[in-house]
Amino acid sequence: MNLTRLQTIIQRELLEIRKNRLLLFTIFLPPLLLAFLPIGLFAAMGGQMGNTNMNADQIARYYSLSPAFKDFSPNELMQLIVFQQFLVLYLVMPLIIPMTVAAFSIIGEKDAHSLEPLLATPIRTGELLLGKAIAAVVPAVLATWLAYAIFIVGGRVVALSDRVFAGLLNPMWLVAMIALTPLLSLLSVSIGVMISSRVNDTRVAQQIGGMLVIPAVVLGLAQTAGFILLNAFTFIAGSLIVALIDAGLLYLATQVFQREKILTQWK
Amino acid sequence: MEPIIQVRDLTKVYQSKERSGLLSSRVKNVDALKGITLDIFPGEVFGLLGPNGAGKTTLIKCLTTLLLPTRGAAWINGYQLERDENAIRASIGCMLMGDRGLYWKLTGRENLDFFGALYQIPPAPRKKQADKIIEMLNLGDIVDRTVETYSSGQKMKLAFGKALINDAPVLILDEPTNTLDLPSARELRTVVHDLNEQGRTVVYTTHQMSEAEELCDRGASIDRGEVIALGTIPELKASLNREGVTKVEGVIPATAFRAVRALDGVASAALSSKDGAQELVIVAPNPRAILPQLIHALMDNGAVLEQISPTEVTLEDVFIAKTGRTLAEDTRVK
Repeated sequence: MNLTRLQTIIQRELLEIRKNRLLLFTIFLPPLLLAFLPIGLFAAMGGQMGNTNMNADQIARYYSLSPAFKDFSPNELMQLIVFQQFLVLYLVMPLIIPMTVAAFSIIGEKDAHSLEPLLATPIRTGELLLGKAIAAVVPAVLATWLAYAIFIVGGRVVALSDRVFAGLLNPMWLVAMIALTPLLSLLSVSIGVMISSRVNDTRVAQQIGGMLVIPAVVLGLAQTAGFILLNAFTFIAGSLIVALIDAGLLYLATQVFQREKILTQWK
Repeated sequence: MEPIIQVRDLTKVYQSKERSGLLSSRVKNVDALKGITLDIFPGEVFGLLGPNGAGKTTLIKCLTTLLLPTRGAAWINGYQLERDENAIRASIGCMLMGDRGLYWKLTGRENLDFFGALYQIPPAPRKKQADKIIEMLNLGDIVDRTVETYSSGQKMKLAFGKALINDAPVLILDEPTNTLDLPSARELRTVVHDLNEQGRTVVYTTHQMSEAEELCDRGASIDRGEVIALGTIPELKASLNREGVTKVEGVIPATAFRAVRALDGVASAALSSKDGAQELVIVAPNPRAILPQLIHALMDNGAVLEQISPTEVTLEDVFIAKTGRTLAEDTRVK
């Protein structure tokens, strides 16, 4: 792996993204909406959740999953749960946002006929794929972090109490944002790049990539229903598992990259 | 003198799937190169000549390490294909895919810088080389604009400039004047000639034989994956020295063409259409002797003749004599 060539690929990809304002807009808009939307809703409701629609069983299940919340009023608990639903979305976003960029990475080069001249340089497959993956991850993670920062600042303003805000600022979410977000993004991108080098139609690549969101949505729904509660252990174990999967996927991506097929059979 | 490029029995078989039913498909083998053997010497401009689909681009893709040959071997600048991929890539500057091999959202200068960086040229010499290319190709007025705003000819020039960024000893140019207008094509050929004068070896593919005659020292005529003629340009032309070429222009029905081909004394004949008019090229050992039968065969089969003239032998006539087809014919295997 040559770092100069890797850096060159990353810089070129980022430069292209930066010059494509519409693409940049579509990368940053969803996370920013998901930052302002809950804050705006809470502000409009005066910080009150009203009737929680939660029955005693559901509240008991949350209390049993995390005894730290046992002193919370139902309103506080509800607000924290809603906050956490949005925090879960910040874990889903890095899976979704870079998918389009990743799915386009190889097939886009082929469509533009720039793949042949690129592969005729001393670039190695691993450098090309990793460079493209990192370049797709960077804007997605930056957008997510920016949205998270706005969400935290806004959360301070609309939180019902200090302990709700403290729950929002839970260090496990910081770990999740700093470690798990980029790793999840890399997971999504690695799969996207792999799909991009295996199918010869951009639309198919994006459709297959879109299915990646399903497990993340299932995770979010499970947490909403109170079946699981994300905690420090889940995040640390999750980060380690995702890091291993990322490494495996990137290796696999270089192995399934069929240069000859791409160059001769894709039209 | 040791060749800078040696190609020995290079064979490339593509496998393509052909759907034979709703769920079934069968593998079809396409022989793109059939045992190509040739040497290219340092400092020469070598033409790879032939119609579309002849195998020129496949050969170029093998030489630039993009495709692995099915059989055979090649050495470039002393490095063996398959074994020394990266050393070969550093030894060649190549222009592939014409004006398309560029990043359209980047400026011309950014494109040059990007490709230079991939060859790990440090920033200062990279900038110097880019400036030299910009000046050589008169790209100064456009180089800081994004490539998407360029005309087709400007893109072609920049793609050519990109091939020079690593200052390699071997330049491989695949149809570099394809979409250029005549003055721009001439200008580019002059630059190629100058680069060759400075010592670079140039491999130049074209299906325009006039271009090869103007530029190349030696050439190989390729047809359906095989070398059908190899030598210096005068040698290739001299291979027809005991034969003459007659060109007939007009409206020539297929029956008339077939009748001409069947005539005794006709070595080969090829029919092509250009700008709405048809042109029949006949290669014969003694064109004068067959002229009366030729005219009869044409007129009796409904041809309308506008002009019949003996012509000087061109490289295209050599191709016609060897294959019985013109260069305009697309021989790609679908």
